[in-house]
Amino acid sequence: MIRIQNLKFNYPKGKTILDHINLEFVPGNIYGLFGRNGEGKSTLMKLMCGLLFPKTGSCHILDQPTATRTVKGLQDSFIVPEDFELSPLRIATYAKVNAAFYPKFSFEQFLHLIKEFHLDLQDFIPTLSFGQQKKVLIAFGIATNTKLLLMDEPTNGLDIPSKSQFRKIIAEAADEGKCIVIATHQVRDLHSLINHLVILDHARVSFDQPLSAVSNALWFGKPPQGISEPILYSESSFGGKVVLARKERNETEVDLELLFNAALARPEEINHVLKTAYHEPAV
Amino acid sequence: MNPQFNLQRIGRFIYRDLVLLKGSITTAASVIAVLFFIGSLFDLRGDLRFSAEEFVGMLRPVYIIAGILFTFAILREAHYKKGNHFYFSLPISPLERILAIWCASSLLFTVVFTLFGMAVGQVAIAVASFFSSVDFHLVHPFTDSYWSLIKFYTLIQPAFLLGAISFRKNRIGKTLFLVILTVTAVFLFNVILCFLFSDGSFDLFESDPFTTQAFAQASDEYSSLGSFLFGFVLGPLMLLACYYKLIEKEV
Repeated sequence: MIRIQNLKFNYPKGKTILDHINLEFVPGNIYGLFGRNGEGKSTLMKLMCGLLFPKTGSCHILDQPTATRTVKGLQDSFIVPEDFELSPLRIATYAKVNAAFYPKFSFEQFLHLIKEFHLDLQDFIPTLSFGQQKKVLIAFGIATNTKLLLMDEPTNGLDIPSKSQFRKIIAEAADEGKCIVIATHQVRDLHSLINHLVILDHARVSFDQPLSAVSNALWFGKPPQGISEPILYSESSFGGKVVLARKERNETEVDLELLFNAALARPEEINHVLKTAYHEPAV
Repeated sequence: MNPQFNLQRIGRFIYRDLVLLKGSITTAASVIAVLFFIGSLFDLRGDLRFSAEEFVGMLRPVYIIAGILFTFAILREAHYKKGNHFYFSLPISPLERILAIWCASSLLFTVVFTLFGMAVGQVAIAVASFFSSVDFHLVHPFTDSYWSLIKFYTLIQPAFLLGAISFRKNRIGKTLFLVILTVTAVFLFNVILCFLFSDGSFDLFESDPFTTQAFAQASDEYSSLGSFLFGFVLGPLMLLACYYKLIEKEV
């Protein structure tokens, strides 16, 4: 779907934001793209849909370079940016003038999502709050039925009920042919939604693993009594929670926030455990 | 069907631009209608006729200014930080995009503006014929001066289009500045050419009023070459530059 090879990027007169990035995003997954502020998550998203061009290396969507912005490539990708302003139109008009460019756009799906978000097609966009405008764009993005859906901080500006609504809608929208990439700081908002985690740190990819591999190799929780093995990562602010190599322990739910901090603090150790892990199913 | 070039997509893009600018277009059209209406009534004084020359005279300044403003307005979204991600991620190729922009701001604008001007002029004649001794007659704009006006607009519009694409801030001011610089450079170049081609006998800097004579000679002797260069080479070159600018544009 998306193949990024040796990608390097910097803004004019700026430091290198992304360096030697190698990533592959495949259909059927919901990727979480995490990183500290300014680590290049939004930039990577823009590179993935051709809004920015790599300085060196390449980024291909369905074997076409994203920088060439081919119609085919653009018809297969949609981005919901973090900060945006929609055209001053009614929601129905907005959909009508823009949907014509997306061959797989479904008006029924759009109408369903708009209703789900408690909006009305006759709502005038400038009168909506930022969160409501974000819902319009998310609904439009899903209804385009592009193979690649990129969302940058999609839950920013959404109220608490809308966040769970968002998770439900994304879970419904995800299918085998679709690749969804969500960049966010709000790791808890993506809990139980993503199935693959990518972490950017110091302009590079410091972690790129499916969550199934993480839960297979790592153990999250309060440290067992009399533990003798080395602790991979611990943090008192999480109620004394630690990350351990799972070994023969029972599988635990992946704690995204703890994993994110662990991957930033001890990337080599965490990646080493994931590479070498092999488990017999726990009894 | 060529996936990179599709006439239907061009049509959809023009429609999209017009819908997005509906408010601005309506406001501008209202102001222009009032101006045209009053202008037409003024032109009906004296000979009680609204001649083709008078129509073109009235059309000229508003047509050029409105056309340039429309060109900049149509590309506003491309520079708007909070909206250009959507603009550039719309599935339309750069060639389709530039053709759509040019068709809307040049061809479509000219046709609609002319018909609009004619309609307002006709209404002014009809109103005047009710309240005065003006006889009802039709507006005929298609004279030589009308076509010269269209040619002039078609020539300068791509330069403003290039400015509208290239500059992020103070786009109109920067473009006007560059156009003035270019015109000055061309003027100086013409004067030098005129001086050289007349074997230095042309008394440019002595007693003759050089501008009038130099221009008269330049237009007599080099006008066809100039027309070709500016009309058939410079305009399309500007459009080509716009195309490449669009290809290179990042958000």
